[in-house]
Formats: sequence, structure tokens, C-alpha cells
Amino acid sequence: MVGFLKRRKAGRRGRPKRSRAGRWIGAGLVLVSTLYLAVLYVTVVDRFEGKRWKIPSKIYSDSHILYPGQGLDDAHLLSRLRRLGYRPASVVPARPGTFRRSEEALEIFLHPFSYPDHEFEGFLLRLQLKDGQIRRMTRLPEGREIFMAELEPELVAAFFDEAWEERDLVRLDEPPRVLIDAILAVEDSRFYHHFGVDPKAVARALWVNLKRGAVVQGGSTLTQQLVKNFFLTPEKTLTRKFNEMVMAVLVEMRYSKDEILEAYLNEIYMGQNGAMGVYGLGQAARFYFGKEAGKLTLSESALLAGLIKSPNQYSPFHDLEKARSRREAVLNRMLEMGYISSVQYREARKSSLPKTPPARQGLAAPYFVDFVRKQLTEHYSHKVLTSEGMRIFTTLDMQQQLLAEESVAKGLERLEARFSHLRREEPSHKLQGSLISLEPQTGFIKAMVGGRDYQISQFNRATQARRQPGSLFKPFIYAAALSRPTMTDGAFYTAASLVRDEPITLDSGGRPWNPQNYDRTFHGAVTLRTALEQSLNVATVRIAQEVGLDQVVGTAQAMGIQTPLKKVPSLALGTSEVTALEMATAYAAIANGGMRMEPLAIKEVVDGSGRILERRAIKMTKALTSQQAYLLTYLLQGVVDHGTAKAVRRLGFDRPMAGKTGTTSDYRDAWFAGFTPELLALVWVGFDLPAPTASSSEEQGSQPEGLGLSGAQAALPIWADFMKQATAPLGPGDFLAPPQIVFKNIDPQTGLLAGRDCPAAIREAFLQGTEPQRTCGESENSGGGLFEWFQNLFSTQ
Amino acid sequence: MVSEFVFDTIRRVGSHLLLGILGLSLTVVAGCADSQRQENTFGVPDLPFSDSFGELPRDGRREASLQLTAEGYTLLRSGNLDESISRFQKAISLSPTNPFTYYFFGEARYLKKEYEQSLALLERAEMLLQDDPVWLSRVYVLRGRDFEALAWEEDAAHAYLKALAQDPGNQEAAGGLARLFAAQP
Repeated sequence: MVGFLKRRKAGRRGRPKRSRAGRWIGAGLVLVSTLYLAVLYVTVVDRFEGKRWKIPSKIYSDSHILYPGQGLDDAHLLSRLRRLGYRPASVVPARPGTFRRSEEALEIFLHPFSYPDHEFEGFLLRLQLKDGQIRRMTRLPEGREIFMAELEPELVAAFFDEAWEERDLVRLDEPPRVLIDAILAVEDSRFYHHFGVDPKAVARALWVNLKRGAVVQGGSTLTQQLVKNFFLTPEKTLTRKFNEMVMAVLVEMRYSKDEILEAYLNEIYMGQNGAMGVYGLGQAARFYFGKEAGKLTLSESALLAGLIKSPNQYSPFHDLEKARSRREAVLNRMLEMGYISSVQYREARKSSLPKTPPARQGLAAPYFVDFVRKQLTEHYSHKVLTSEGMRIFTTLDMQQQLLAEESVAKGLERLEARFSHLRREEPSHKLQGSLISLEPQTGFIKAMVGGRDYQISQFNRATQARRQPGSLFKPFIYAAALSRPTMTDGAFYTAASLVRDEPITLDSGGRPWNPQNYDRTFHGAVTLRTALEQSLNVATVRIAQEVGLDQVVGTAQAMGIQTPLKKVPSLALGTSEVTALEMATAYAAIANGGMRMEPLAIKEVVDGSGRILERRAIKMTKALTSQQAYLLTYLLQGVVDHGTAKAVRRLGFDRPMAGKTGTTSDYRDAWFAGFTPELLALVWVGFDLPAPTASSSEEQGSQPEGLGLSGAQAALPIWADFMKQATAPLGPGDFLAPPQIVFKNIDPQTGLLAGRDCPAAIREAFLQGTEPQRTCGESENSGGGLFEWFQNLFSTQ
Repeated sequence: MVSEFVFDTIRRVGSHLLLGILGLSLTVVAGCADSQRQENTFGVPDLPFSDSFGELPRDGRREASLQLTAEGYTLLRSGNLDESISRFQKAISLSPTNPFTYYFFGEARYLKKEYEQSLALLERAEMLLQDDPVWLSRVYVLRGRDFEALAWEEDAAHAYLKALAQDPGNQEAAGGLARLFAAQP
């Protein structure tokens, strides 16, 4: 009784200690569990209702325009089509993304494409071909002749974060129903009946695994798979599994089945494309079949559904037979579940599988991409670029880019094979090169190679390296001269003006400087043309002194040189360092009738919803008059036809062109800049660093420190190789003379009008009113004409 | 040249009054003159595009360029300036000697208030249209408009006079001169 009372007493006053502690523990557990669930819930909601995926921004090339009369290199065009994901067909192409090549025609079913300012639907295009040209273009099936068509821009690169996930988001209503059915059939047939976790599936999987003595079947629902991919680390632990189940239930409580399914379709891992992961059915449809998810067939849907279990194992690109069996398993399951009929099943089984993946997404145009990235990061953060799914449309021509990369690589290898002193063992010390190609009339950068191997060195020698241009600088002197009167007689400098290639001593920083020509001789009185064609240093220095270095610098800057130039006498010989891009811009101003175009790489930036954030239009500034530009072009044509660049004709480039070689006095840098009316390319070759110092007296002197080659030897062949191919599609074109340009036959020795006494005439261009008035052989005081004839009649010579 | 004489006269006399009288006279004359085509704001005929440009040598590249210019023209007329610029840029890329692309591109830049860019483009158009006085006149009118917008009245007057010298029936040029006169204090 006492004991009972004691116990009753204890119950009334408080619980027994053990019971009190138990309640606290219980309360604590409830609190912890609630907190735990709350954290998981917030995590789920945060991910679902915030930005679910990081969509990398993408860089596209320029579109490629096709027109009748265009030269067609089969290999180049087919390569372009392949990069764009077009697949060959054996019959008339019936679906976007297919093409057929016959002997006289190429039929392409163009992809639909979202351009920045319009949607392109895609249609069947027929190109009639003859003698390597497009003869006629027809839009089918209407049969209407058309004069222009566009191949859509190519994907060049994407801004990934460290995860490298590539996605094309799809809405639930976009893919065909058969794709959804196929996925549900093999991955989660009771998706619409469970609450995030399927106890039946778990029990079944457990039973099968126990029977087999190994984990051969999973019991995870689609929701669990989604949760695992969204939130959880890949380790296989009980804790992670528990979390996965709880979170799956929370997801099901919060979101509808359709929302969950849509998220799944966009999250699921579907294989590898080089270094890039393929995520989501949208991207998978493009990667495996080159089409949008909405256009998938039953057979294709079954293949994709089958991949989910193990993309790399069941990929048709790795193992065709495994892929075929897996697809069949999916189709079987669909038939069992009544999603398809037996007729559909049989038809789908017969369909062929894709055998080759699209062109691997590697590092295309890496220097150009870096150049673009740098410009973008001035306005957009890394986070925005790697997650907002912007599209950046550029000026790049992928075909030209590949040609440029090949020309530089092969050109450097050829030089090393031919000149042993150029060979280096250490990859970072090897001979280097760069190439830029620009459209003079727009400033569009069509190709950019910043070095030999991006993997070894990301330093962009086209835009970042400052090197001495050597003789490549000389045209700025002549451009400045052509607008000014000479000091000798006040007449304007013309191509026929005589300049003295004779010894000169100048003060350079307090010390005497005596410029020399490359051949170590002096040539006396030569025409301006001869001085430029033969790249005579001394004559050029004299012209620069007469014109004035201020004027020279002003002209160079107007033409596009932005790097500060040192106003020293040797400036005339290109001793002040500049970038290759600046030089290309300046030469493009010559090619473009005196109008300098700002080099342009980005045309449009479009955000993830298709809104245009930026448009960059061409910018022109007048640098020279059109007459000055033409006269300079005419001079530079002479450099090619009979000057230091004449080897270009031997190398097979036979179009009208103008250009200039560039070699620095120490032979460290070799340049060539050359242009046709439609395209300019500039090449640089040299070493980043001087050669390693010789370690023994035997080695000393056996290896020049620099390149040891001229622009004509080192850079010109690379230029010719590139330009021959890059300009092949273009029709013939020549430089047009602007108004007020007249042509006269003159004597190349004296610069006077050609006459009886000096019949070896050349045709020279002049600004109207500046052409020579005297004829060669005529004395200064002679009346010329009849008087001269009368005089010659009584001449004793 | 008539225009040079007139302009020299203006300079010598230094009289705004003379300029005004001249402008009025030219307006009357231009109104009576037989203008070759119907004019809109910039003297561009609202005709199917390629009909206007039959003088140009035709090849596939030029044809494609003209097609793009035509698209740009349509966009320009419907007020889609940025889209028109995109077409004109492509057209120039294809054929840098198509003068009409430069002209309409110049017009688009004018409408975007990028007057100096417009002037640069018109300089190319001028160079390529030396043999077509009617179109050259239009180039000068647009140039005059650019100068007016930049408040360079003397250059604007000079441009309008050059336009009239090329095409005396150009009412837009006459109107430009009259406008300049009216703006004089």
C-alpha cells in the first residue's frame, strides 16, 4: 500500500525520472525530425521553383549564304553539313536535317532555326551543280527558283561551368506521347499510382536481387531518380537512400505528376559528347538523331528510353547490338503494357539505328572563343554566361577557321621540316604562328588562329602579342606621303615620284643611326613604287623624315593602330610594337577604299527567352580618301606582281590581290598581309622566346636566335595556302578605281611619262592633276611635241 | 558647274537673303520640273526592289546581295531598323560594290540618329553611283539631312545644291534648302 502510495505520489508530483527523460527525448526527436523534414522541404522547393538548371550560353558562327554562281567545294560543304548535324539520305530528303548528293545535284532539307530576329521554318533546297559551281537553286516541292539560301549558324562553343552539362529544355507537351510511354514502361510503370516511393517495386526488386544474389534490379521511381540527380551525391549509402525516399515523397506532396515528369525529362543523364555530358531528352534527341524531341519516332523514342538505364553501355555509338537489344526490350515492354500495337512494334523493330555521332564538341576556334568571351565578360558575369542559356551570334566562318588552323599548323611543320634550326623539343618553345582573316568591307572577323596549339598555350598571338611589324609598317609611310607635297619641288608625292635611296645619318636618342637596306646596297634615285615594291629601307626612312613622323603616326592611328608608337626615326622600319589584329585592321582600311572598319566578332547577343540583348553594327571611320587608298592598293599590287611578294603567284594564288611582306631587322618576326577586294588575311610567324643560349662553343653560331627567315619565306606560304581555299567559292573580282584616278604610262626609271626615248613603260595610277607632265627624254625647257621632233631631227646622237 | 557658281555667288555676296530667294526659286522650279520618279521622304521609289536596280551588272553574288538589300529595304520601310541593318550588313558582306545597300544602310543609320555612320556609308554609295545622277542626287539629299541633324548648315546647303545639280527635279533637295533658309534668324 505504501509502495503504491509512494508510486501514486510520484505520479502526481511529476513523472518518474525515466519517463520524464523519455518525453524530452521524444520531443527532441520530433523537433529534430521536423527540422530535418523542413530543411529537405525547403531544399526541394528552392530547386524546383528557382532556376532548376544551368543552361550554358552558346556561341554560334555566322550563317553561310548559298547563291548561284558560287564555287562549291564538295568536301567543304559536306563537312559543313556534317558539323550542322545533317545526315545523308539515300532517297529524296523528307525530313529536316537530311541531305542527298547525286552527280548533278545536292538536296538539303534545311533545319528550322531561331535566328535572333526571325524564325526559319526549313524547307527542301535543291542545288543544281556543274563544273564545281552552284548553277541553280530551287525550293521544293514548289519548284520555285531562288537566288539565295542560308545554312544556319554552327555551334562553336558553350560556356559551361565545371559540370559541363549540355541541355535543350523541353516542355512536357513537346515530345511525342510514345516517348513518355516508353520511359514509363521501362523506368516506372506505376508512376501515376505511387506517392514518390513504390513499395511494390521495392519489394519486387528486393526479391529479384535476393534470388540472384546481386543487385540486378532497382526499385527507384522516376521521382527518386530525379531527386537523386537534383540534390544528392552519387554514393550508395543507406542514409542517402533514406534521404532520397523522404525527398521523393516531399516532391510528390508539393508538385503534380506532370511537373515531376517534365523535370525528369530535362534532368536525366543520356550520355557523353566528348567532354560534355548530354542531359535531358531534348539534347539527347539532337545528339543521337539530329532532331528536336518533338519529331522523334517510336523507334527513336524506344532507343532513348532504353539508354536511361546505362547510357554509355547501350549507346548505339559504342555497341550497336546492345543498343538494338535494349531497344527491343523497351518495345516489348510497351507492347506488353498495351502502349503500342503489334504492327507498330514490328515496324519499330525494323528501323535502323544511328551509327555515328555528330561532330564531337571539342575546342573549336579556341582563340576566337576566348576573344569573344573576353568581350562578353565586360558586360555579363561568369554566372550569367554559364547558366542563363544566352546565344551569342558571331562573325566566324567555321570553314575558314578550319582552313586557317590547318594552314598554320601545316605551314609551321613544313618550315621546321625544311629548316632544321627552327626545330625545338620543348613544346612551349616551338615555332609559332597566327592568322587573322577579316572582311574589309564590314570588319567581320572570319577566322582567328592565335597560336599553334591552344592546349599548350592559350596566349593569343593574334590579339595579345605585341611584335615589331618591320617592313609591314611601311605602307603607313607611303599612305601619309601620298596626301602630301614633297619637300623638293612642292609637287604631290605619287608612285612616280623619285626618292633617294642613299646613305643617311639620323639622330636617334642622341646617337647616330645609319639605316641599311636588306641587300646592304644603295640604289640611288628610285621611284616611290620601286622603293615600296622592293621594300627599300633607306628610301622609306627618307620619305618618313620628309613627311614627318607626326604625320606618319597620325596616319597609322587613323588606319587603326591603337598601340602608342615611338616617334623615332626607326619607326619607318616598323620597330614600334603592334598587335596582329591592329595591323589587319589597318590593311583592311586600305582594301576598303580608305574606310577603317572596327573589327567585329559579335553580332547579336540573345537571352534565354529569345530577347535580343545586344546588336553590334559595323562602324566605319574615314582613314584615307578613297583615292589615297586606291593608289596605295595599286602600289601594293606591284609588291605582289614584281616585288618582294611575287612568290605568291608561284604558290598558285592567281587572283587580283595586293599585299606586303614584313621582316624585322633581326629576323625575329615574319609577316605577310594580303587582300583581295573581298577578304584580307594577315599571318605572323616567329618564336615567342629567343632560342635557348648555346651551351657549348660548338653550338654557338650554329643556330640563329630568331626565325632567320623573311616574311616571303615564312609567312607568305601560309597565307597563300589559306587564301587559295578561302577565296575559291568567290567569283572573279578586281579593285575598282574611284573617281579622279587617271592612268598614265610612265617610265619606271625616271617616273616621267613614257616616250620614244624610254619605251619600257608601266601603267601607273595618279590622282587627277598630279600625274607627271614631262615626258621621259624631254629636257625641262623644251617645248615638247613638235619642237622636240624638230630638235631630234638635228640631233647628233 | 551651276552649283559651284551659285555657291560661290552665295559666298561672295554673303547674304542670307540671297540664299532664301534662291531656295524659294528652286522650290518653284523643282515643283514644275519633270521629276523622273515619284518621291517619298528620301526619294526612294516604292517599286519592287530589283526593278530599280536593273543597271547593275548581275551575277549570283550580286543577286543574293540585292535580295538581302530588298529584305532590308522592306524592313526599313516598316520601321524595323535593327533588322534592316542586319540584312544590309549581310548584303555588303556578299557584294561590297552594291551601291544601293550603302544608300539604304545610310538611311537606316540616319533614322537611328547615327549621322556620322550614315555619312560614311553615303560616301561609299556616292563613289559607286557616279554614273547615275538620279540616285546620286538622292545620296546628296540624305547627306544634307545628316548634316542638318548635326547642325552643319553650310555643309547641308552644299549637299542640297549638289543634289539639285545632279537632278534639278529633286524636290527634297529644294525643300532642304528652303528649310535651311527658314531656319535662318
